[in-house]
Amino acid sequence: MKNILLTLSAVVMLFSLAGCAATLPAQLPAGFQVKPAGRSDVGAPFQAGTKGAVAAVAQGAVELTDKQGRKVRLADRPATAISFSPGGEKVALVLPVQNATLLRIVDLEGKTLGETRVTGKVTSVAWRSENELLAGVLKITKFSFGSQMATHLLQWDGKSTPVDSTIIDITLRPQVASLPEDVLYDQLHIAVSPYRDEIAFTSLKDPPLFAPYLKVLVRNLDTGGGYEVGQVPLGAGKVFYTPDGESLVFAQGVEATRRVSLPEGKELETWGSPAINPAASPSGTYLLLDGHLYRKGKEIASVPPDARGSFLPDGSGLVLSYRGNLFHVSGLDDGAPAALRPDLERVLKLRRLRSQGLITEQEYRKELEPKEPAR
Amino acid sequence: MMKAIFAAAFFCLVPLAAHAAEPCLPCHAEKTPAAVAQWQGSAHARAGVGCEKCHGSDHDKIVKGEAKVGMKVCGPCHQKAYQEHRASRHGMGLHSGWGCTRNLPNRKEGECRFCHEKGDEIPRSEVQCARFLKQSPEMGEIGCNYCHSVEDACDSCHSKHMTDLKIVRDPNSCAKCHMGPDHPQWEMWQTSLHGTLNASTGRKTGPDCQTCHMPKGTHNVSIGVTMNSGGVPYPAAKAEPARADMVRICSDCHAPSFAKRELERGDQVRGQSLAILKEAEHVIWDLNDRGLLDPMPENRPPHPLSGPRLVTDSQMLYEDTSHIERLFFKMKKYDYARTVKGAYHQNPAYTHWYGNAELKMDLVDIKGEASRLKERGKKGETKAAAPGAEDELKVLKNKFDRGALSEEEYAKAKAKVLEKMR
Repeated sequence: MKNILLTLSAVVMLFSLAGCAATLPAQLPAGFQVKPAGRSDVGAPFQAGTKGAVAAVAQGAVELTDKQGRKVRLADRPATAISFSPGGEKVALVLPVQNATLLRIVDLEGKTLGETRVTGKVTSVAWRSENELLAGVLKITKFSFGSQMATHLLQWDGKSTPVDSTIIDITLRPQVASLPEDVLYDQLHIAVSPYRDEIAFTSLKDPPLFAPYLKVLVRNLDTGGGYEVGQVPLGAGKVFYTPDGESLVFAQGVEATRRVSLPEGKELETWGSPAINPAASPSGTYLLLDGHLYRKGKEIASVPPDARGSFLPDGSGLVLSYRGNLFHVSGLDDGAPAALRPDLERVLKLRRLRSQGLITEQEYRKELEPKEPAR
Repeated sequence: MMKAIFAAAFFCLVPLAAHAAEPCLPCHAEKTPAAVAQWQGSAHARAGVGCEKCHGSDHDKIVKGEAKVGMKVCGPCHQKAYQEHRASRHGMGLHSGWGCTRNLPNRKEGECRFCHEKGDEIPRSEVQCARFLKQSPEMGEIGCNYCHSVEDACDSCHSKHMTDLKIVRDPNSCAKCHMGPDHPQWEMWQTSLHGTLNASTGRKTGPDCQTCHMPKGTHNVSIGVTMNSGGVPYPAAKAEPARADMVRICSDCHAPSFAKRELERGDQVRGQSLAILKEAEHVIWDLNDRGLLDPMPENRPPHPLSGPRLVTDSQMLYEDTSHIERLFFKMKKYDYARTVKGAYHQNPAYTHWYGNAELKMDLVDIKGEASRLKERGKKGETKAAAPGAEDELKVLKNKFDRGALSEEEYAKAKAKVLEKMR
């Protein structure tokens, strides 16, 4: 069995794609198939949507490629973030313009459904529901004594003016404010809880007498209450929820990745790969970290570390972006995501109370225990 | 022509000073003759300390007001005074800081210098003031920092170019800040027996501010003080040695036992007044718990430091607040302060009529306003008519946070609310 599973064909798969040689050097277990899935500019964002469609920046524009290879142009300029809505019928695009950013929502034919201009740099977008898009915005203002970095959260229904909340406002020392943009802005990657009531994100902290680092924070979207879960080094700004919404995955130093419980931040699991370009499958069975593919905590395959991944929403596959090309990896056995608790309304109410410090974690857990029926 | 002659005569009369101030004098004798004349008559001029020594040589910076002659400029030569000042309440960073003005509307970039030195992102002190943050830049400068910059400004008391000690030994130099409705120490002193004797017989029999608060010329003005600037008593470990210091100071004229008794009477008045104040504060928090303040904190501009929360501590505001809180502000900042400081300054009228009587009448007003709000609440005009579980838990948390519920009581009360929620 072990042999079958670990019969890793040291394969170098060569594909021909529109006349160009597209290569994905990978070690994959038996049963996995790799197919070319289009092009994607190096380092540019892409995301896998429902039914095998992939939205990606290719040759300076945003294109949607469906499973049959049909291409639809979604925007004529490159996006810095792309996100499919939960139902997969809309795509949010972040399009930088001079001194601002355009947030645009398009349908799968590229028709603009909504657009708003945002002052500042949008670092990430995520959908809370089919009708609410969240965007993290950083605004940096320079002063003689340092720079002010204000972190904003936009909540947008795609039609009205977005609701803008300042969630953090700090001063950066001049040397920190002048860090390269790919380091400075590698933060505020919003992850939405499966309960859709809170977000997790990272935010730069620049204490006067210590080296700067990123705080991992959770914020309830309705109450504004929240807490700190942990700290990660600069350059490891991505976090994501596990499907049950009860834990978060993020970097452990620069060498490893950890899963911690919410809200205590207690370490539950670790992986020996750094949290570089992390991605998780919908059920949480698969995890891609720095080119290492884990299944239920065990490494089963590897792809080049600079290959970035996005799992299909149905868990059947993984789309990889590697050196200008997209590859569709199929054969995954993701299983169904863990169902959320049936008494959702009550859980959300308790989570809301917990986020404001009105009940303790212990009280929260106790309230979730099934109540004995009265005799 | 006259000015030129005057300037020429000036240089001939004081060659040492002129040498020290080169090359500023030729222009400044004409442009700012008063400043030159004042400096010319100062100990600085006599000692050969010229313009550049304090102001630097970057004329552009000076013109823009960016070369402030702060305490660090004076400190190296006046080490003893500097150290004493730093150790006192004047040196503790009374200027407004921490709560940054940068996000407030219509701010001026120059006001960053209220708290920051150029190139330094760390404010000079961690003092924060919500009332300062509510001001326009202009009001903040004249209305707050003209007094609260004393931490870093010797010229706050000494004036800018003169060094005559007569200036700073005059109680009027203290009156610039220590007067008015919130802490009228100057008026209290002036109309007390100490002030009357000072006016009629002089400093030897009638002590002034400096006699008691800057004995032997110290710059530590906090010697002998047993409470913070908001009137909250220090813990015994800090208060007892301070009291011993003050008794020693009083004993220059009075029997130590008499001085001790007088000051202890002040302590009693302070304790009694604090109890009245706390009673009023409790009434306001109770209204807040019931959601009866009008408007409630969440329905008015957020507090600059604490957000949409009720604040009754030293950071409380007199604007964007409810009527009953405004009454409490007056009670605490004016009437409590006048009672207590009046008692320690031996001024009967301030202690009683401007202080204690007002304090008691404030409590009557606050209780009356509370009854009106409760009556209105009963009629269902506010959300308090039917609070949800979340509101109830917030009320309990408020009570626990301010010590009105023990940990056990809090846990029990919460369990009841959660049980109802099931």
